[in-house]
Amino acid sequence: MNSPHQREQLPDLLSDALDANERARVESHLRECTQCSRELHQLEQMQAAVAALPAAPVPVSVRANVRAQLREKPRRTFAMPFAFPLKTSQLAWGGAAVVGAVGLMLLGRPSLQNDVYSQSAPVSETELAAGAAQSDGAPQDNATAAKASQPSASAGAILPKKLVPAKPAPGVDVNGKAPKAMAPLSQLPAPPRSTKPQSDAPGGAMPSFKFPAAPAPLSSPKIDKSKSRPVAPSASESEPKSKVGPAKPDNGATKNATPAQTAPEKAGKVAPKSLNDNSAQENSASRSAGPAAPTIPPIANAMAAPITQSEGGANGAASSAGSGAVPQTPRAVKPNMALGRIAPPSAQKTRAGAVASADAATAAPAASASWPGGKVNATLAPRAQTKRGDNERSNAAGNLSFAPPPKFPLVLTIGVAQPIGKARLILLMPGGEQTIWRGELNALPAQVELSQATIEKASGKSGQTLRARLEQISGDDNLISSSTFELLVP
Amino acid sequence: MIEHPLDLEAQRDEADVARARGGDVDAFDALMARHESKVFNLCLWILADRDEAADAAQDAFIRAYRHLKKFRGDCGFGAWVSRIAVNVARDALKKKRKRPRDFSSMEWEDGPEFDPEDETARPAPEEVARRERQIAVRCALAKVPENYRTTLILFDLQGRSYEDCAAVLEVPMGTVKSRLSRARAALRDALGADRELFDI
Repeated sequence: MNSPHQREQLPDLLSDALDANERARVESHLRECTQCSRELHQLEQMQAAVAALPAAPVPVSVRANVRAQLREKPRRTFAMPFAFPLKTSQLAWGGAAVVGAVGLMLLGRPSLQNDVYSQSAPVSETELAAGAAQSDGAPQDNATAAKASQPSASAGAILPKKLVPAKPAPGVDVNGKAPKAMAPLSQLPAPPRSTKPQSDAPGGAMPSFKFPAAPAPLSSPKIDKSKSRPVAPSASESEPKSKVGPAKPDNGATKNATPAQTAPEKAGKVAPKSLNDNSAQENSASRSAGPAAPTIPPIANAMAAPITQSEGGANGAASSAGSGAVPQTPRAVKPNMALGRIAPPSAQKTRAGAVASADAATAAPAASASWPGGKVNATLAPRAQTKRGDNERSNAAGNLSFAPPPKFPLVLTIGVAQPIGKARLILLMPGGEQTIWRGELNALPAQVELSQATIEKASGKSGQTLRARLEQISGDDNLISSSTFELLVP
Repeated sequence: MIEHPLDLEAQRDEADVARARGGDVDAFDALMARHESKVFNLCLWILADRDEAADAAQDAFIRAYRHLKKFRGDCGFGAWVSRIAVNVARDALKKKRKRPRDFSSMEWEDGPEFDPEDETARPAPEEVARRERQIAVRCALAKVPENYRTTLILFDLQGRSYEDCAAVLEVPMGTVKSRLSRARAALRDALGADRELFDI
């Protein structure tokens, strides 16, 4: 039986697009029609030819680019915290001091703003002062600000009013005064900011999620309220809000922090006379003193409160006023002390649990009599991270987490209440003594990195304490006075 | 019992998708490694330009990663990412208002197989005929409308099932079959006299 050609139905047959009846009809026709059978065969060969077409090789760049973009994604989200904390912190400064402190604790670490907003630091500090004044209910006018910039006790007196939001908390700085600012902050609950990036600024702050308990006073009985007030507020407020401040609140950041920087900086800006003996030379030195110096904005000055205060006691007691004034002059940093600690010693002790404050009278009675520094404040804490990403971990979802910083090397930071000039630091080991630092010990604390081997060697069998002696020496290395102290190994 | 390779691949895809959803970039990289060839070649058949196809494939994978949480598993990951790729490539095609080039002039980088100048190889007559058929098919495919061609590539060249094709093209399965039929008819018509090459 002849049937009309099913040419048009053949592609449908191949594509299984025919129902059963049509399929049967076409197949029946194909058995009788050689022309349609040939056509079907051609179609099948075409299909086979299509299937046999070689696949074009995929450019390597496709996957590589995708991978790169996917791995960059966390960084994009990483940038968010920079902007957000700033706004938050600005609001905090403009608002109530307490709210500001809490906001900073929760939203940003000081070091982050240091990274991005270091250029705007002066403005921030101005706002800081203004905000603090508002928060304190004592608006500050220009005249007040001008006063604050003067290296006098009055400046220090102004700041407390502006920046001390509440009554000072107990704490001990180099001078045995209470850095009150740290107390309220440290008493705050740990902020949920585990994803905050580390600061890559020198003295970058540790993530505040480790913020532990309130700082325990090291040697509280000698708190001088008249001096502690100015210092405490500046330290406390600048730490969280400035985002530049405490390099390592948690672990007692040391190396990159800014005792060395902040103290001279503050002094240089606010109380030029307080550091006039050093600042002129140190200004230039500060530029090359280390990576920390140029990047830390002036707002970080407040963090050097304890040291600065001690300096103020020695040179004019005006350094602490810097936190309330707009920084104008470059900070002075002594080269060998450029790496300082931003957080007040008391705060570090509290957080790192490894700070020992040795009063000459208590720690080394024999030396205390002639000890010019009056008080020695030493800390032993893990080194602060120097740059963002040191222990940063990120996943593709854009979440960041931070591994705990390495325990070693530990940084021994030692500061004195009053400048002592040439000095050396000697580690008292079971098998003998070892000079681990030598230099000028003035307003800025000295810092020495101690390796794990050194720590183990020096701590002896106990492995828990470290004994060291700070010696004030003359130009020809003759001993003038000394003070021995013990440090807990964290 | 030996599992079918496709089942194994589907299982691996499923596991990698789960990991990638959790932010594992390496898992997503494994997914890309398994599917990039199909995705790229699909884009290439749509755009007829290697660079544009690479861009489209790259964009498709990035979009897939970003919307991975929206992937419900109704179809395989390969079909899902191919769907994204088809949409991206078609968008690119529309934006550039560019007619597909003659695919026969494309550089396929597939070696001496398409090097007619290679006299040293002296291929066998069967090999010559096969090359001629491939070239003819490639040229004819370029003349097939894009939606038909894409369907044909998915089904014949990439060996996808009707279900997969429907998932990629977001059309019912019956539409896939009808498009396939029209694609074959269009290819046959486009071949013209070269159809004799397929009288084997």
